[in-house]
Amino acid sequence: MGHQPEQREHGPTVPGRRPDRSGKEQVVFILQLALVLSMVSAYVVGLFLLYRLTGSAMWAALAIFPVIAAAWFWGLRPALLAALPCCLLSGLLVSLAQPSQWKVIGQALLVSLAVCLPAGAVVGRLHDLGERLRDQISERKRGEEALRESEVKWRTLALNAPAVILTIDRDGIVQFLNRAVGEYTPEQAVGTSAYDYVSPDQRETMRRSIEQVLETGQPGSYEILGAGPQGPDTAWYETHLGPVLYNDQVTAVTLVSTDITERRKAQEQLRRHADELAQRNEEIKRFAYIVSHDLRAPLVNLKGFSGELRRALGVVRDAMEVAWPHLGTEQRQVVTRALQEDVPEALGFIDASATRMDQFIGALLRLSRIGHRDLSLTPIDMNALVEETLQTLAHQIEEGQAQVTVAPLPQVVADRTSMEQIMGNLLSNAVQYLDRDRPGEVVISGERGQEETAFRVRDNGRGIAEDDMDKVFAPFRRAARQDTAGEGMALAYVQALVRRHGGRIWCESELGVGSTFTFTISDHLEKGGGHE
Amino acid sequence: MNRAHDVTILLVEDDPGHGRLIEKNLRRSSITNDIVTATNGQVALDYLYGEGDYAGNERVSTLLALLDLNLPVLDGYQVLERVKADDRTKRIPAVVLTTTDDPREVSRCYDLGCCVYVTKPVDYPQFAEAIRRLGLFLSIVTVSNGE
Repeated sequence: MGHQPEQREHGPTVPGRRPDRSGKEQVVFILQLALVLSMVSAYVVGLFLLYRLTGSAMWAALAIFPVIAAAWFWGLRPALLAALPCCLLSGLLVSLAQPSQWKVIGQALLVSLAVCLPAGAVVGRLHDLGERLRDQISERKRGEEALRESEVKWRTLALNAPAVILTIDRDGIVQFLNRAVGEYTPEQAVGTSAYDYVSPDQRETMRRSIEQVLETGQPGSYEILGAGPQGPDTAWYETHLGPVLYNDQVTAVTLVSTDITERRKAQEQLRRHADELAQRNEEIKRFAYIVSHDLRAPLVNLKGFSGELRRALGVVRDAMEVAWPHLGTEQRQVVTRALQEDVPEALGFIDASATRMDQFIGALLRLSRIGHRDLSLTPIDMNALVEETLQTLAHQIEEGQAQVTVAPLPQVVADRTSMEQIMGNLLSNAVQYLDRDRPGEVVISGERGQEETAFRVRDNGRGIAEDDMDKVFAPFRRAARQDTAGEGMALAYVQALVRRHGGRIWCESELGVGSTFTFTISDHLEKGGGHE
Repeated sequence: MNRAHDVTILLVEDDPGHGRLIEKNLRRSSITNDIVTATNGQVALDYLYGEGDYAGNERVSTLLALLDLNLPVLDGYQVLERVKADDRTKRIPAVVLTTTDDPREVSRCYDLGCCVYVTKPVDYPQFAEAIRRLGLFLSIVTVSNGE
């Protein structure tokens, strides 16, 4: 796992972790105390007896044993603390043996001090040094253990990560690899150049990214074609680069690579589908356009020549005035019916049908043009726009005694004319299809979403039967009771306009309860471009 | 300088019905000029340049073209383009007479050098009126003799 810092102090140890005095240690301490106390007693008895026998104050030097014991067990300070009472004890003992012999008592005190202090100091110091050494050793041990634990933790993390993780040195040589990449195992890869595992024409991209990380110490990323389960150059990786900083120097680079082959495939497919769809859409638009025009040409003839026939009929009628007296009664009836009724009726039907056909074609043409129209995008105050629309509908609103409520509406960036048409059609529909049997209510609201802005027009009108729902946005289809005029194209236009704005429109409705029309406008509109 | 009634009108129209209706209504607005009908763009160009079926014919130099857009073989745009690019024909006034009223097609025609763009209304009284007015307009137009 690359370099580990040499400085022990920074190792991941847990400082100050001394165990509490356990039961075992207490027993040891009591035994040590007993030994020291028994040595004190031995020294007291020994000194007393030997002094009586020899009269030499030198035996006060025996105090050295309890002091050394204390120093051995507990260190410098307890030893020095023990030395003082021992010396006093020496003096006391001598004075007990020979009271008022001040010189001898003084000798005993001095001998005790002269022996106990240096011996206690040296042994105590040794003890302390040993203790510190032991501490240091165990601390180092704990540090090493923690380090091993940490190493296992990180290694497990790296080995189980779903990504390919590797460390490379400044020359691009692999120092660590967490898992096999394609046919290359970590054992094979370590020590070889990381560049060998990517497609030759991608190496430059990789080199530039790595060099940038080495120079700047900033993380980087790239997408690259490299070795995969199917062999060399079969998998796409998204790689994130991170510098390994040691003493402010980038000593190595970590690479975390995720296999995004599937994602790229899906993206590619999505793009292809989108292209296909756009192409198909374009074809349909062109088709509608061409059909509309080619259908119109014969209509000009139908209407034109029926006009010519009508004109000729007038000529015949005028001529008949002259021929009238020469005809019999029956002939007159037949000719009159033909000239006054049959021919005008036939011409009337031809004309009316051609007119109707022309209207359909005109409507289709307008619908197909909406998809082509260039949008001029401007920020629109929707409250003001709705207010203006309502003013144009004031007469119908008053007639239907409708209560119209407008909530605060979000601003949108859209094509003003389109928004006027959308709102105009939805509001006029809402007002037009109110139920005359109850007070009408129309509520307009809107809210900003994450990617789009939604507007809602709710009414308590007649509603739409479930069977008719799929006809709502279809051209030339008009659902429900037909006591209102219209060619049945309004909502088809609205839908085309909404789609042109990258949005959707849908309707929720219940027969006899009311309808809610909701449409959205995309926040990511490009001028002139469109989603349709 | 040529007087208007010396001018030959070249009517480029693939729909014979339309052609008849246009001719009838032009006549009604007292247009007495010769009217030559071409049923597609190629025939129109052949007539203009004395090629194909018109090879050897004397080229009529004083002309005015009434042009439909949706034509077989060569469409109206292509005819317009060729006519305006050729020094022999670039001064011929071209009137586009078509069913299309798409604003983009209108601008495209003017860009290509057409003089007047007239939409054929489907409604016959309007159609007749439009052609009648066009006739009145044509009767006062002065064309170059092509030199």
